[in-house]
Amino acid sequence: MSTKTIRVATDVGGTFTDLVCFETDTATGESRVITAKSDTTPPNFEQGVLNVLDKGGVDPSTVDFLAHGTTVVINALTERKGVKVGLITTEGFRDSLEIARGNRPDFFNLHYRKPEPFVPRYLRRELPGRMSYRGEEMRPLDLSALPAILADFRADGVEAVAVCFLHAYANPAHERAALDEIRRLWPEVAAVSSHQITREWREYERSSTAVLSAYVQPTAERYLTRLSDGLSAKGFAGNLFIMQSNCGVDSVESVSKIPITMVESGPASGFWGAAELGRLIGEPNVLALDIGGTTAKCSLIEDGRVRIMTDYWIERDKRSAGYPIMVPVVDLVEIGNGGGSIAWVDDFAKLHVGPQSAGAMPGPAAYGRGGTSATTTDANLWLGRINRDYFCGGSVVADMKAAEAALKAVGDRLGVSVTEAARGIIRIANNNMVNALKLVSLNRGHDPRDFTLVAFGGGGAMHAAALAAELGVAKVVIPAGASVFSAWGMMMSDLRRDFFVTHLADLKTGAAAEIEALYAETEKLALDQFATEGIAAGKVRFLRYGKFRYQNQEHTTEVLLEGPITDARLGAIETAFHEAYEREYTYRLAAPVELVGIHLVAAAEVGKLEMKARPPSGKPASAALKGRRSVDYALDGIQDAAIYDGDKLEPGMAFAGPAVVEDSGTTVVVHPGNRVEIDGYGNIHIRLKN
Amino acid sequence: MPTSNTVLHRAGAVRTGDPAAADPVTTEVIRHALNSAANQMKRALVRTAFSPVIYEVLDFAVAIYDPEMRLLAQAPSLPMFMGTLNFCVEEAVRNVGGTENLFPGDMIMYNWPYGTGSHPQDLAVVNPVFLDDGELIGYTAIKGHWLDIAGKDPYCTDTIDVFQEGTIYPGVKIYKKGELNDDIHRMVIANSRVPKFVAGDLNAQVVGCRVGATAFREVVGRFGRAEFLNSVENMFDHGERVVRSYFEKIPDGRYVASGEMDSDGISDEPIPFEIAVEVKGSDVRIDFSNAPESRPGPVNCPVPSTISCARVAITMLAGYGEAPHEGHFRAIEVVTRPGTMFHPLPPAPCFLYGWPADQAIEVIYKAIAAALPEAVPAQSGGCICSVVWWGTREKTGEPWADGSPHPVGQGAWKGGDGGTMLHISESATRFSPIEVWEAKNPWLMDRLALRQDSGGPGEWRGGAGVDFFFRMTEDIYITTVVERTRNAPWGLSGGGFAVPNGAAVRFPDGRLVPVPKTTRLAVPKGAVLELATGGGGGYGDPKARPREAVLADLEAGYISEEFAREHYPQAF
Repeated sequence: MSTKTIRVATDVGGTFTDLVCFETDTATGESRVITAKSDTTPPNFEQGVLNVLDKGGVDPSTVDFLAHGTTVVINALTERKGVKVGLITTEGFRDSLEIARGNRPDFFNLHYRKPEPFVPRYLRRELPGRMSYRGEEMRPLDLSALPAILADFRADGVEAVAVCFLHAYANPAHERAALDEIRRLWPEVAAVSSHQITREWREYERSSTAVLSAYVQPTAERYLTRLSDGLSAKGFAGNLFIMQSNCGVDSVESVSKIPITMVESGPASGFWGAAELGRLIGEPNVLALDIGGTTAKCSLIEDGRVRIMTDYWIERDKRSAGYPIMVPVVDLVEIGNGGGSIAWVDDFAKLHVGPQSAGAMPGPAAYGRGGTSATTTDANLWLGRINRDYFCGGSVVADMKAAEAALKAVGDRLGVSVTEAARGIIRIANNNMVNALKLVSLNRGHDPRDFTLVAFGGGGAMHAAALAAELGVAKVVIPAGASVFSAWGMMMSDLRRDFFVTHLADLKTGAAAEIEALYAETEKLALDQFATEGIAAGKVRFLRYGKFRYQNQEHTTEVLLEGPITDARLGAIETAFHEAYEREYTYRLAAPVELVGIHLVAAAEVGKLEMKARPPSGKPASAALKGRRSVDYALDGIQDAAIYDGDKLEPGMAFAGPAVVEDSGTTVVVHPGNRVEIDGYGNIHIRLKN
Repeated sequence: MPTSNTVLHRAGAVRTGDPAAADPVTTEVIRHALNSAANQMKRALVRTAFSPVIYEVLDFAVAIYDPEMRLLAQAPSLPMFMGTLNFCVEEAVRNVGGTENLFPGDMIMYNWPYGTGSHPQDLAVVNPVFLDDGELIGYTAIKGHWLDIAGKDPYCTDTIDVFQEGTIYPGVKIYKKGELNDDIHRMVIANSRVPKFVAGDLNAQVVGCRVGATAFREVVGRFGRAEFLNSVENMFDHGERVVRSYFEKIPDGRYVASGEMDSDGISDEPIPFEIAVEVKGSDVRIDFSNAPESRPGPVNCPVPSTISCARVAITMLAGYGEAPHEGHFRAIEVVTRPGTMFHPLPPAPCFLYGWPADQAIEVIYKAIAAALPEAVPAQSGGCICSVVWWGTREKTGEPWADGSPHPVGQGAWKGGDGGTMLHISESATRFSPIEVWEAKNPWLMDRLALRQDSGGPGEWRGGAGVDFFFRMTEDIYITTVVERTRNAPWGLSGGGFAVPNGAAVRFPDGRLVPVPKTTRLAVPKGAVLELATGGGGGYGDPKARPREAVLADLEAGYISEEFAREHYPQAF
């Protein structure tokens, strides 16, 4: 009889494949944690996963639960390594994909290059047939031209076909018929239609979604097949789950059908981790911040719930309109500001940090690999915030000469000293991150002061206390194992699917039956899907959200609805919308309210980790003190700071700033006036004086 | 050349702080914070507005001004509205009796076209912002396009004076010390064909101004008044340097280019005009003084918009991609002559003020091309190709209205083919999804397709125009404003002309009636509005276009074989 449950999370990144393994004693609930790292092995990524299991000494045949996160989809998209796609649209609309929304975000750019469509015009074909927005057939579908279209596609080397018809969100019958016929005529080709991925309106966004999904489908399917085969060959008989962009995991079978849902799975697991951590430590309202080497990402968790949206775009920034993918993705803001972000001075003597990054090669100047650009990391080193004698956990000898030369170059262009330049870099980097945190809080109608900042990733802990002070946040939590926090989040995830369906309805008496039927129908669809994966209906939990707006508005506000929709409850629902709306926009209107669509969350627990708190050790923090050094806190001046060894911190220890906590993966900068306490899980709680 | 009968316009040069005393990093933090405040205003407006013309077309301007009416920050929306709000903030404040008559919680409504630069539908809400100690630190302001403000028609191409164009609010307080002025509000409601939309949009503007005021107060409060003022001067100086450095690279000279309006909406005669760009050192002067006399029809462009189009053109060219503020405008001088199309006097009609202004931007680029052709693209379709629809819904009897610009082909430039997008004066605007449109308005779209052979040939080719075919499912009214239907978009450096815009209604009986500019045309159920937008001009000699690029265009169907053989014989 097994006395251990073994849960593993593996995360395939651009450079490394990470492993976190929790070996939990079923009797005591105590867990032993194993982490390991090995090289990512393109193009046979599954090999890296098997390697890292091996390196961590984890025998696949003993693993009960394996969660897997991969960047295979986002990489295929950004590196343009998908397959040739043919698109079939409603007659008269093949150019929708190219006309897109006609905007240019960078309107100062007279030489703007519009993002090139993933399907060139000669591979975009049309079929007669038309639905109305109510889903009524205005003109029957005529498939007679389809064989010739598919013959052309074959001749042109197309490997995947996407179908998107107007108003298929309201009635997918034509898309279904076309897809069935494609599968009959050409069974080997990867084929997908827009309604399978989303039931929301906006034809350009939906066609783009179908196209990008088709583009990555063969690659992703191949990857997932090899991964499961490789694991099975090593004796793995547990459940394999794939991390999704909606903060849940899903089965391999399901993901293989619509792999595009993996697109933002990396950040999603970290944000889910932050939500789970919040639940664990009694902090339901969390601002989550993930600072890596090239970017910082943030998301807001309210009342323990991550916000899932379908307004996701790749490659969209100030310079480009990007490409929409209408799949459920955790609501996040990402900026080009991480540890490796390069500081530069423009032609007019103004300091900027990012979005260009020194990456891993050459990396920050202090890596001594030939980098000559000053990065945020170089500034942190120069100011003593990062320990120059324990750089990257002691694995790299900091090349302070190179760092100084790089910072001096910045200082010279600004006409300031090296130290002033370093302070300026930290302040600008912090300012960029504050603005990103404002975008997910203030710009969504939330006051950051009502939230706890949870910071993770390689650089989160270094900046978190300063950002919190700026935003008026009272408390920062740095999770134990902040650098592998995403993998932990993966292990805490539920099997989860988010269903979005556009459906216009007013809230007048008599409307409830129709709305209730839509939820019921979608819930049944979810239960049927779960059932095929052996998950009993009783294990599935639903969250029903309605998307409402005042009639004539465009944008919607989501409201969580409890219990069945009845005419008697419509009034209460309307009130709940008014309240949610007022909180977000500060006012309410007497105008009629309408439903624009539903958002149904279906989730089932699939054996997630139970965390167990340890009692306070009783030892004083001084037991973890490893020295003191002078640290420049930029706006808080130069201070003599206590340096703590993160690996020696134990539950119950407490101390005050100025201080720095160091372990092999993370540096926590504690500002003067901050008070620190270690909780039973090893998380570092920083309380600000305000 | 400025003479006794011309007027010279410059940006605000007054100083209220010491730029040298400012810390450059703090300046940057403050600049970001101000832009973030402006963006919060925009977001509140867009999310709460009732009209697609606001939340999709972004036909609004949100900005923050200092007490000297200098632009501190503006969120990206309609470029054409960039840097015009100072005139209306100034007028709005003056008309309510000056700053001594401003109190916390006041909101002023203002839409006199000669102060806003726009037609009466573009109504500004101006919110004076005070610190807790009662000091006025500036204004947040939002000018938004209202769907209807009780002009002779919801949208007009044939007005003969400004009084036909809508109700005028000459600077009236809609909120006094935080209290809604109900008398004015009822006037607003009474003076619109679509009162629900207008009430909703007014509310959204008020909310946006308040959101901005809170964020603005926070910025000033956080850094203190003195440091804030020093940093603002530092920020302005930086912007000024950016623009000046660009013009230092352009050879001194006077560069003249011409454009032509199809008509003024009343008579059918074309209206040629010319604009001169004078570069001297780092100063640039845009001279409109040679403009034709102001017109009897509504194509007159009031001075604030004339100045604005000069600022838009120059900031896009030389602004280094930064969000604009007053500093960017300091190197720019604008000369106008009262009584002309670009400096009309009341009560000249100005409903279509945007059309000469839009074309002026591209004419300014054409002038600059004479000095530095690689700096600018060839002409686009040259118009925003607007259609406004309205009527009464068959089933509900509810009045409705909607309007939209339409994408055109963009001009090619040295190094790039043109794409298909909205005119540069509406570049942040997103074209509406057809599925959302059909759910809202009584039509079915028959076709949304790139027009073959519509882009100008060149080493780099122009972007294609688009066919938009709207089949009406109820009887409706339309107003169309489609300019540049008579003149083909120009190419540059040997690039060819593109195909111009066109608009026509195909009636159920088969008649095809051209409607480049029409007001309140009754379009019956079953009729089709066929809007065909123009392409963009080409850049460089077509003979220099690589063979494979020509063949790819041919395979994609952007061009026909006949067109390819005519312009690109090298490919065959």
